[in-house]
Amino acid sequence: MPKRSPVRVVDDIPLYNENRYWGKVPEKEMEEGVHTIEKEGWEAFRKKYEKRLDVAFHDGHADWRYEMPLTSDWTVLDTGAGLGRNTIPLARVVKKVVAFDQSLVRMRYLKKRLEKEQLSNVELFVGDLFDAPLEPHSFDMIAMNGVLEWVGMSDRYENGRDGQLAALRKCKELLKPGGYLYIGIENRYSFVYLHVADHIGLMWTSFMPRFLSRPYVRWRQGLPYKTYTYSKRGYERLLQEAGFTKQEFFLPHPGYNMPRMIVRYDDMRSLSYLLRNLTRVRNGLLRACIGIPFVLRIYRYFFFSFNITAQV
Amino acid sequence: MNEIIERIVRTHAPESAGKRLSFIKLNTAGSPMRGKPKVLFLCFFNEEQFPAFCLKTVRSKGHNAVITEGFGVLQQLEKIAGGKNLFPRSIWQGEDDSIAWSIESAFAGRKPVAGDTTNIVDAYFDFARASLPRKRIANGEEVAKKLIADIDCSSEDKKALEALWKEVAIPEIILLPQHGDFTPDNILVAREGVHVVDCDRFLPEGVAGFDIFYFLVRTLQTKSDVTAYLQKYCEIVGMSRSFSAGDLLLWGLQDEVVKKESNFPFSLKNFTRWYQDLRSAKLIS
Repeated sequence: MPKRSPVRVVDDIPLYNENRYWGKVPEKEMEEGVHTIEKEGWEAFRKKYEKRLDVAFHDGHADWRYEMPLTSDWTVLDTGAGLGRNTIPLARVVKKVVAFDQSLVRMRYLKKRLEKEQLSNVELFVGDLFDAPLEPHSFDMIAMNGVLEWVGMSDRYENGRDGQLAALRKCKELLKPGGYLYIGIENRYSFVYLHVADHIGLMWTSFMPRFLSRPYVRWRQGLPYKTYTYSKRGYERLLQEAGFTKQEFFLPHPGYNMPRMIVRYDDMRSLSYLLRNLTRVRNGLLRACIGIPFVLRIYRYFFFSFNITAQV
Repeated sequence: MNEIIERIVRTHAPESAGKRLSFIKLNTAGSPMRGKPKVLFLCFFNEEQFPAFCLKTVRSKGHNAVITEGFGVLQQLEKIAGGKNLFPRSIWQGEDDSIAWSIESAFAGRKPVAGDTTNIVDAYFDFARASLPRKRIANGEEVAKKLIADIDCSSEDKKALEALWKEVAIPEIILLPQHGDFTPDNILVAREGVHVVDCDRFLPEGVAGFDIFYFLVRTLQTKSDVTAYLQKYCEIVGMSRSFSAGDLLLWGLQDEVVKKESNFPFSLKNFTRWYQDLRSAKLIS
């Protein structure tokens, strides 16, 4: 699919940008993991790294695909494919997946996974969304699962939101008419961020107004704050500005990375049923509160994450 | 959830005509981890409080058999239980874009509480009575041999199991349909009665007592209640002896979860512990 020449090719994987590693473990450890697969096989890798690496050996990660009418003739772009936890399940059901990531070693790992799963309908490359030499209007769906917040980190833009907006506009350009953009991302005002650090590694930055969070992050970390997340309203505005007029929001439980349960954002009755019958809310007071429509409406504003589908 | 799912419901469940549909997508906590490929959608009509249907599908066509087999199980259960509303009703099964889908009825109801035991056990006894035409008396040795042969474990483990069976062998056992996963998690209690869902581990010829014994022991009933219920069950199925360590071993061997347990010897330890506990409680001989 990419039409310009790569900078170089490693293990049959073209690099359109230089390798930029990211991940939960150091690059060296990831390299060792791939080496283990090559020398000792998958079983040895699984035993050695199962708990250390974000290994996606099951297909439930991509269950967000049920939010759109995906069919076997679709061509899909998986941005920031990482270890392929969305690429693999998508490749099993669509005609073709184009998957890319900024990290070479992660793409090398994914290539091995694809060989193991005997999936030959995936094109891999190393690159970034802004530079990826992809044909306009060539995808039925573009997946940005846990990607949009990090896009803001791009050096090309001073402001995180400008980078995110540019990425969404690029997606719009790549989608076929009627195509779907999928975004899996955290809610800026999630309760979780009261006791867990934001993407930048600091507490409460997502709750702060941007005019405070930006200097605060620069003071604490010496870096610009660009990994923005938003409220539902914030995402709506961003998508609207990028030209996506149709948007639908879903609530994934426990989170967008493993959407065991999914309900429409506006479907209060299903949300109530989910919380009362399908999750383990044991506290009596909490259970009673779930039954109050007003409380439930408020609760959505603090839900951990969103699955968003958008069309032009 | 999307137009494909809505189209399937509209086409194959005529009750949905003219109603607004909404869905919850779900799969159980550990199921993708355990390699289970099934995805469920609870389908609600208008603003109703409980789902009307449950749609089932798999993530890729390589697993279509999970849906067809599950649907076949519901059809078998319908034949056994007759018109009783104990199990979900099978509505439709077919393919869309090469992926298998099925629709079954969903139940309104709440999770059981301690006071529901009698109703649940009575409903199960009705099912046991309805199963009696399928009752078969089998040679204990033959059943044990087959179950041990089917288990995915090392030859040493198999030898250990065979030796264990010799110690606790029963000459004759009763085989009867068993739900296979008769736990409170799979039971719903409603005004009109008790409903049992998640029938995927159905055993058309299971070792009698498996469902009821595990249900009673897991729900921590009092010893006298368990004894009384088990005695009644034995009367219903025409069993002249009480449950023994041999039954316990066969139940463990036929349980799919135990069969596929990667660290199988663990279940031997479990067996010994259970056997000692249950024997000292005089729940088995």
